Amino acid sequence: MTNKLLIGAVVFFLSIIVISSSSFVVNEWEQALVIELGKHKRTIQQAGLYFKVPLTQEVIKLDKRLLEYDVDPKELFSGDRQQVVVDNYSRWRIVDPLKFYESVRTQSSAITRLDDIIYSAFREVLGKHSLKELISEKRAELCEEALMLSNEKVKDFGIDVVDVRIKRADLPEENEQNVFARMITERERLAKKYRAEGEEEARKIRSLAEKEARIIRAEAKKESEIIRGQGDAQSTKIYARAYNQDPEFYRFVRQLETYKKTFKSGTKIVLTPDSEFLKTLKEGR
Amino acid sequence: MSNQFHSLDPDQVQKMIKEKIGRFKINGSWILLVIPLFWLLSGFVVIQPEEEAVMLVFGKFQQQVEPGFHWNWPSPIGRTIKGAVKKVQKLEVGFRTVSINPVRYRHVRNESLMLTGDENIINLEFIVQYRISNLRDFLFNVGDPEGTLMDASESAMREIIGRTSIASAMTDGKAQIQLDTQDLIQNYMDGYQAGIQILTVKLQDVNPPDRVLAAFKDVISAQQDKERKINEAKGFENDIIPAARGEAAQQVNDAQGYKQSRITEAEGESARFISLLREYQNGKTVTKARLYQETLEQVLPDMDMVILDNKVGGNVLPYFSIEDAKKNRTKPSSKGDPS
Repeated sequence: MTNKLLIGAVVFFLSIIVISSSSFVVNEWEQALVIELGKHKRTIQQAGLYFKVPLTQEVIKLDKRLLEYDVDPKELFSGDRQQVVVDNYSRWRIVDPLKFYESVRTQSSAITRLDDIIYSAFREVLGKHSLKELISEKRAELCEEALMLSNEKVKDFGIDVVDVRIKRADLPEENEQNVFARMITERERLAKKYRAEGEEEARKIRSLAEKEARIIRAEAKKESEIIRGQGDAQSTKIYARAYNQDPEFYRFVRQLETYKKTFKSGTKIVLTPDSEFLKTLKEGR
Repeated sequence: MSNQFHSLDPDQVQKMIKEKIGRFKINGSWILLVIPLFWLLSGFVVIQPEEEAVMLVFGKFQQQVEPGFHWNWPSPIGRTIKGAVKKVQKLEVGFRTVSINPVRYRHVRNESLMLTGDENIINLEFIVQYRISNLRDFLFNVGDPEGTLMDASESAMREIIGRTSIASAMTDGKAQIQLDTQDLIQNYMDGYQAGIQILTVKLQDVNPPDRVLAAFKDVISAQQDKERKINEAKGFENDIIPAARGEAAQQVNDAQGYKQSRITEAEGESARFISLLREYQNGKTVTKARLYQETLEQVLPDMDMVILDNKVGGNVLPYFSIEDAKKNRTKPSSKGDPS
C-alpha cells in the first residue's frame, strides 16, 4: 500500500517535470521563438499551449503589445535656425520576432536604436520647417513625416513604429526668458491702453455731459427771454391801450407818481421864491 | 470546541489524534480526489458589478464575462484577469494630488507650461477622465495603457494649445479646447487600439506663468480702472444734467412768473388809470388840482426844502432853509427868530 503510493507520487512528479519542460504557454500579449541549439526553429504569434523538445529547444518570449518609448528632451534646430527643445514619444511593436531577436535582442537595446533613428528623423524633418509650423500649424504633419522616415529605417529590426508624437516643444531657457519679457511688455501695453481708453471714455462722457448741460441752460435762457419778452410786449400793449385814451392825463398822473417815488425823505429841494410851487403861496398872501 | 478539549484527559486526546492519523493512512487514496477537487473549486471567481473579466486557458483568450459568479480553469492552466470597466478613472496632467484631506496639490511645471499659437507661454493644468471600453484591447494591445494615455494627453493638449491664442485659452476658448483635446486623445487611443474611452477633458487652472502673472493681473486692474473711470464720468453726467434741467425749469418758471405778473400788473394799473380817467373826465380841472395838491402833501413834509432868493448876488448864496427853521423853533436857546 505505502509502496504503491510512493511510486504513484514519483510518477506524478516526474510527469510534471517532463510536461513542464516540454510544453510552454504563450499568452495573448506574447509571441515566442523556439530556438534549437542556437538555430531558429519556429515563430509563434498565436496564444496557446505549445510543445517543444526538452533540453535542446529553448523558448524566447517577446512582447506583442504596443511598447513604450520615451526619452529625455533634446535640443534641435528648426528650419529658421531657432533652437527648440523637443520631447517626443513613440509607440512601437515587435512585428517580426526573429529579425528583432537577431538584430537587437532586447527591448532596452531596441529603444537605444529607436532613439537614434527617431532623433535623426526629427532632426531631418524639423530642419525643413519653421518653429511656428512645429508649434502650431503643421505639428501633426511633421509627426507623420518623422514616423514614415523612422519606419523605413527600423524595418530590418522587425519593428513597426506605430506612432511618433511631439509631446513637448519648448523654447530653450534663454528664449523662454525673451518670451516672458515680451509677454510682460505686451501686457503693459495692454494695461496702458485700457487705462488710456478709460480716460478717453471718461473725458468724452464728461464733456458730452457738460455740453448737454450748457445747451439745456442756454435753451432755458432762450425760452425764458422769449417768455419775458412776451410778458413785456403784452403788458406794454395793455398799458398803451389804457393810456392812449388820454395821453395828456397819463403824463400828468405819471409825473405825480414819479415825484412820489423820486423825492425821498431828506431830499434837498431848492426853490426860488418865484417858482411855480411857491407861486400860490406868494399870491395867496 | 476548545472547551470540549479542555475537559478531556490529555492521554485521551493523544489517542484520538493517533486514531485519526491511522484512518488517514488507511484511506490515503482519497487525497488524490480531494486535492484536484479543491484545485477545481479554486477556479470559481466573483466578478464585482463594476468589473468585467477576461478568461484565458493556456494563455489563449476564451471569453469575456460580465459581473457574477463564474468558473475558469485555475492556474496553471487557466487565468482570469479582472478589470474595473465601469469605473471612471482620472489622469492628472500638470499637477498631482498629494493628499485628499486636506486637499493639496503639487504642480508639475514641465507638464503644465506650454507654448500657445501666438508664441506665448501658458501654465495649464487639466484632468482626463476615462474608462476601459474594451478590456481585451486594454489588456493585450498596449504595454502600458496609463503611460500611453499620459503621453497622448500631453501631446494632444499641446497640439491644441499650439493652435490657440493665449487670450482665447484663458477666456472664451476653454470649452473648445476641452472638446478638441478630448477628440484628439480619443483619436490617438483608437489608433493604438488601447480599449480606452475618453469621457472628458477638463481644464483646471489656466494661468499665465508665474514670471508674468503680475503683468497679467495689472491688465485686469487696468480694465477695472477703465470701468471705474467710465462709471465716475457717468456719475458726473448723472449729476450735472439733472441739475442743469432743474435750473432750466427754474429759469423758465421764473420767466413765466415774470410774464404773468407783468401782464397782471399792466391790467391792474390800466384798470386803475381808466377808473381815474373816468373821474377826471367828469371834472378835469378840479381833479387835476386835487391830485397835484395831494401829491405835494405827500411828498413835501419829508423833504429838506431850501428857498433861494434869486435877487441876492454875491458868492454866498443867501438861502432859507425850512428845515433849519424847524430846528430853531424847537430849540429856543439858539440865536433867535430869523423872521
